[in-house]
Amino acid sequence: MSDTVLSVQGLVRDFGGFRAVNHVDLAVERGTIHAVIGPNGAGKSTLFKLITGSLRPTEGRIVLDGHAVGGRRPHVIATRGLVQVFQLSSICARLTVAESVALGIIAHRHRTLDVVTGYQRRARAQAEAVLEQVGLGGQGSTIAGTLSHGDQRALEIAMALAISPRVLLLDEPTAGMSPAETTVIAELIVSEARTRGITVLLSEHDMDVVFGISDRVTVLHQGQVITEGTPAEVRAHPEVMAIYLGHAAERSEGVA
Amino acid sequence: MSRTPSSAAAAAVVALGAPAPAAPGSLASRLGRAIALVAFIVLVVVLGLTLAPANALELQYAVSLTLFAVATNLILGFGGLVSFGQGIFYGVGAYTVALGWMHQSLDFTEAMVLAPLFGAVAAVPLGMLALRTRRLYFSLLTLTMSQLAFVIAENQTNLTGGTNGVFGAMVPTWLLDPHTSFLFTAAIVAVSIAVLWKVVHSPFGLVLRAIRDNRERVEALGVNVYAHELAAFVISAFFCALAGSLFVVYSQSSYPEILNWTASGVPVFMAVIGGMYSFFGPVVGAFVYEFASHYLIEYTQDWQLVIGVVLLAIVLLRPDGLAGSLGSLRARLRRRRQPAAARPAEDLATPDDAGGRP
Ligand SMILES: Nc1ncnc2c1ncn2[C@@H]1O[C@H](COP(=O)(O)OP(=O)(O)OP(=O)(O)O)[C@@H](O)[C@H]1O
Ligand SMILES: [Mg+2]
Repeated sequence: MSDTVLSVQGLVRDFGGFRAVNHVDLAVERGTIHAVIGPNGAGKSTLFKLITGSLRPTEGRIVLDGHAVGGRRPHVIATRGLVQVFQLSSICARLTVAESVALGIIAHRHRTLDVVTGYQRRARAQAEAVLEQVGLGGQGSTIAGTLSHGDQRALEIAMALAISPRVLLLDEPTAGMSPAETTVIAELIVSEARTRGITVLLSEHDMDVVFGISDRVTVLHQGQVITEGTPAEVRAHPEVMAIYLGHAAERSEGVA
Repeated sequence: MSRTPSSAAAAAVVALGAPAPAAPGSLASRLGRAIALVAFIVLVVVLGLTLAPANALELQYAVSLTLFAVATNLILGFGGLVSFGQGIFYGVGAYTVALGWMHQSLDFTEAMVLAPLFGAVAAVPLGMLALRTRRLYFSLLTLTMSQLAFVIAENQTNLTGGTNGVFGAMVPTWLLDPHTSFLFTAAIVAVSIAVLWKVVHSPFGLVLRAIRDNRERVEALGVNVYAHELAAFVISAFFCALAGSLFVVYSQSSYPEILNWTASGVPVFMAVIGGMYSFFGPVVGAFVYEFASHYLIEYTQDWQLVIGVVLLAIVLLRPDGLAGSLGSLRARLRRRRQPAAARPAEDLATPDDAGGRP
């Protein structure tokens, strides 16, 4: 009995002559936490951008909740319930923290063209609750651009959660975070997936996080899927071990 | 002398444009703002009514330009779109009144109602085209469009009166008295600016500021960025055209120069001097620009050069303009008074960035 919320079939993306994503198949079960891992340049971010619509696929299909969404505009895909948190911090620097989250709420409620009511006041009040969840309680009136890197990442997740997505794409959510911040975010991801039934697809270099919270793991290498399975299966996979040993030196130089 | 009371008005505007004090949402600061606003309106009205007719007319022109600047700043400061084409809509507004009078014997009131509507309608195709491009390309495309509008106005002599433009008794006699026409202009500008204030502080305004900061992020939240930019462009054009129709009230004429791309640059310049990230910054800028150019023109032929140098200096040194400078000055003074603890960060955003308040 499988309930696939997001499925990717034969996905290809070329940059000039270079094939960054090479016939990738992926099926994400509803309500699970699914990790995509792989060394730098494996194609994880490109795969995510194809799914969110910020890049157009060269070939292949993307099906979200039964609808083919490959090649659609990002805002269309987002309104279908899929939202991404980018690998590089991507906030609205001049908005306050509460406004940033209110923005998500306004978008979700289709009030973005509202110039009449005081809806943003209500949205801002609701935002406080979301901020509490991600550990930014009481920071509502801080200017987003002045937050620490870790807090900016948390804010991005709060913005994404504000539109009540069915599928949340997190591209390296804990990159550049302190161990303490990483723990907060990892726990948040787990609780969102478990209590609100949000499906999470994430890429991550921190193997403790990946193996600690994921239900399924897909390993990508040079644009291709090497293997897919439970954390235990993947950890024991000989090819995965080879890839990661091969890249261990590179990653320890802090390239991630 | 006209200068003294007028620069007093400008000073009052500067004070008003200054960013919010310590706790942006606090009742005291909102009350302070409301008082400053009312005091400013009273001051302008009293000045307008007591000044010599010629000076009242100058003040009226400056007031009408504040609307042009605030309307342009909706897309500039809050939308992040540097348009050198808002003069087109200003011109559409002015020509609607002038040509309506000349060709259709339109009633003045009808023409005044149609002017902003025509501006908005014209903005739909132009915006749809221009907003397909970004940044510099958007600026260049809007600049080209305004140059095109200028050429059309100049060459379609049968329709527009060509280079000479349209002059005549298009304004009803009751509006010819400088004090009445000043009050008329001030009332329309006040209501329009209040509406624009509401727009900037609405959910739509928040979306617009978010797009300015990071369009990709907003798109990822499911917002059709292009459609929202277009909506802002059209709203801006509506009020630019209204400001243009007020130009006719001031000058009883319309001519091609008001469509020139340099004319489009004027409101951008006003917003930049005054501070484009603050709502009232452009009001400050409009007064400063208008009275400075008035003053400079007596001393040098090259007053536009002087203004160009000032613009360059502002962009390089203080991108948030006069309002921003005053804001950080106040913040610095406050910091001296306050203990170091719990001080909100203020470097990145002007405190008056329209959203500090709930
Ligand atoms: N816009 C682009 N143009 C050309 N090449 C690109 C582009 N985007 C990505 N690539 C290339 O595609 C490959 C995959 O990049 P991608 O960012 O998807 O990797 P990744 O798995 O996310 O890596 P990392 O772990 O470093 O984030 C890389 O070799 C990269 O250089
Ligand atoms: Mg990546």
